[in-house]
Amino acid sequence: MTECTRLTANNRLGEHHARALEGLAFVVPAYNEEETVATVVGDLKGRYPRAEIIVINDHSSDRTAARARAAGAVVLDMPFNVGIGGAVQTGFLYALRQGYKFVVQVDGDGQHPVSQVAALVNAVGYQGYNLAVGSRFPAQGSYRMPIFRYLGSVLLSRLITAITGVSVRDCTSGFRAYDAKALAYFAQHYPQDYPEPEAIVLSVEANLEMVEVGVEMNPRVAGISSINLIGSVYYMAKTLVAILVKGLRMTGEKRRAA
Amino acid sequence: MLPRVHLVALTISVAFLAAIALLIRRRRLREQYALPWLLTGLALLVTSLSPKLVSILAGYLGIAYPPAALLFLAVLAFLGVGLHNSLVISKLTEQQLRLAQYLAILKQDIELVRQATEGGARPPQWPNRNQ
Repeated sequence: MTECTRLTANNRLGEHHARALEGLAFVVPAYNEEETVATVVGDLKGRYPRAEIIVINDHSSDRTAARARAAGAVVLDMPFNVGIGGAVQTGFLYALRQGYKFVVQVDGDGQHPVSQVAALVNAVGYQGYNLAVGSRFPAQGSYRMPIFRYLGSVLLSRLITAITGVSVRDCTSGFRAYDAKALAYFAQHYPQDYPEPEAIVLSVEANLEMVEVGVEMNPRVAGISSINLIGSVYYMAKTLVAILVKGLRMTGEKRRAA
Repeated sequence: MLPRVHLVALTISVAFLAAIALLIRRRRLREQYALPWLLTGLALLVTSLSPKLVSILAGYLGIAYPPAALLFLAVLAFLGVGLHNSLVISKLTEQQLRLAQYLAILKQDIELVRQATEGGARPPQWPNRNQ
């Protein structure tokens, strides 16, 4: 069902399609990204002029909101910091209400190149997948993940594969595309912090068809990653618990179904 | 005449119940969340009035040292109240996130209406955490 598919060769075709694609919106979570958010919005606007760009400003203390607005994005201002999951979910709610059929999630820090969007759009727009995850593995381009991040990511991915039976290699990537079915589900159920690995498990639970798409990513241009040492420990613990709980729930449901 | 320890226990449990009642009266504590504390306070009162009850209870539970039975029950009560609080916090967090999300969307809606009507209501500005 979900093998790591490389669609780089289809990029040109995908961009052509995506330009014609109706109902595409971008969800860009941003927390203190004033240095990069305008470039991200500008790049997306340049390549996808008809798509709406929804920046969710997660109560930044800098000029993120103003920069994004000036660059032509719709900005949703959170009244207090809700975490990346809560922010992204706000974008889903807004996109759904506005009637968008496809959403691509792109980080506000410039890690996700616009050139890679087409492959994701292709997967949900034309290949019928509900969820497409941009994968950094096998590594392409100049981006190399820090070693501990890499190990943690591999461990979590293996665990998700072991428990859900779904093959996934880069479960921490936040570069994703969603169709309307996935949006409707995640608008109701989405983890509030460090949501990426858990969302993959949720997608299995909700019977969403997921595909991993090989993409290139940039190293961070500015700002600092939201994850520090204590954060990583919490990240791992929280995600492990979430995966195990959901794995148990799923086996329970299968048993009931049998 | 009661031994001193019973007097102390009695005073504390009455004071505790009075404090709960006062908090409810001043609307600082909602009745639905006061219930576990009221039950705890009543149990405290009963055990301090009748130490024999503790001995009977300890015998029933198979605990040789009666004060240990009292501690055991206290720990159980706190576990219950603590878990109940976590459940309430989880629900509140969920509701609070939803409110924040709808507020953010509505704020954008107001902005759109304002642009369309050339100066309708201004959307609220969230106070910055640093101010």
